[in-house]
Amino acid sequence: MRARPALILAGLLLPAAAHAQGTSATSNFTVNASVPGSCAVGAPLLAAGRQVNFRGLNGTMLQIDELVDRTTLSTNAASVEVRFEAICTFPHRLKIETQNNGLWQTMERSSVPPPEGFGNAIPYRADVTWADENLRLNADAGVRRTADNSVFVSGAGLGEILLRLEIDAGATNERANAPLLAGTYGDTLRITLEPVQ
Amino acid sequence: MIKSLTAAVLLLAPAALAAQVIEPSRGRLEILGTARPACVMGSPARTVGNNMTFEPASPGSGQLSIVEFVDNNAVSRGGVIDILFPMVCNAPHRVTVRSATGALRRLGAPVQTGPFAEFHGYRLRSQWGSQLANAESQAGPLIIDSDGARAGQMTLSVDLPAGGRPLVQGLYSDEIIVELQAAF
Repeated sequence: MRARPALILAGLLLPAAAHAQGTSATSNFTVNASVPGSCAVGAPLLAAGRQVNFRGLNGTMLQIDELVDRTTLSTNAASVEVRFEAICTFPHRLKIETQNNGLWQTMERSSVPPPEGFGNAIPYRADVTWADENLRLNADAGVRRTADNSVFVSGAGLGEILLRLEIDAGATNERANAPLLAGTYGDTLRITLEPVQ
Repeated sequence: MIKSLTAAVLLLAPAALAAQVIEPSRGRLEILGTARPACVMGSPARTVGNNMTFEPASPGSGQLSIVEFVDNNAVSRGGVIDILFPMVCNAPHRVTVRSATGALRRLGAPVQTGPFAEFHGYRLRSQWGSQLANAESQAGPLIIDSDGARAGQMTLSVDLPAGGRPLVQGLYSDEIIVELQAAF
C-alpha cells in the first residue's frame, strides 16, 4: 500500500533531477520475476507417414483397421506414430502408462479363460521420444493390469512428444500366431509430464 | 520504502512457490481394434480308408473315390473313409455337412431300372471336438452347433453300406459340401 506513493514520488523527482544535473547518470535496478512451473500436453495428432493398418485418429481414439488376418485369424501387424505438442518448464518426469498392459477384450471380460489355443489379448510396444530422451513400454499382455515406465528429464522441454506404437504380426498372449477370440480389443495409454521440484 | 517493499516481496516469493501445487499434464490415447467372428477351413487331408480313397484337389476341395464300387452281382461292396478338415472358429459357429443329391447317383439319362437301382445312399458321420453327429445322405444336412470358439480337426466319416439293390451300370457321383459359419 505504501509502495505506490513512493514510486509516483520517484517518477516526479527523476526528470527534475536529470534536468538540473545536465549530465548522464546510470541507475541499476534489480528485476525479479518468476515463471510458474508448468507442464502441458496437447491432444494427440497423427504424425506424418509411417501408418500401417491403422484407420486413423478420431479425437483420442486410434482405430486399428484389420485386427486379424483372415487366413489365420491371428493378429495383423500394425504400426503408427502419434505426436503430442508439449511443454514443461521444470525438470520433470516423463511417464507412459498402459491401463491393460496390452490390447484386451473390452466387452467380453470374463473370469473364464479362453478356449485352448486361442488368444484374448495382444501385446504391443510403445516407444516415446521427448526432449532427447527415449522411453519404451512393453505391454506384454501377460496379465491384465496397469503397467508403466518413466524417465527423469533434467531440463525443461518444448516441442513434440513422439509416440510410436508397434504390433507384431501373430502376436497374442497365447502363443505366436494363435487365433484371436472374436471381440473388440482395446487399451488406454496415458503420457504424463510431471514436474519434479 | 521501495527497498523495504522489495525485500518483503522476495521473502514472500519462496513461500508462495512452496504452496503452489504443480499439476502434471497428461495426454491420453485409446487404441481399439475388432476381431470379427470368423471361421477358417484348411485343405482336407486323407486318411486310410477301406475301399475308398481321398485326394485333395485344391484348397478346400478334394475327390473321394470308391476303389471297387460293386461286386460281380453289381451290389455295393461298401466302404468307409475318414477325411480330416483343419478348422478354426473364433466365435460360436455351425458346421453343416450335406449331400448335394442325397446319394451316389448314376450320371446320364435315367433308364428302365427293373430290379436295379440308379442310386446308393450313404451315411455321414462327423466329430468336431467332443460333439458327434450323423445323418443319412438322403435325410438332410448334418449339423453341429458349437457355442464357443474352437480350433482343431473335424473328422468326416463317409460310410458306404454294402448290399442293397444291384446297381445299373454307369458312373455314380455326388458332392459332399462342408460349410462352416461363424456366429450363426
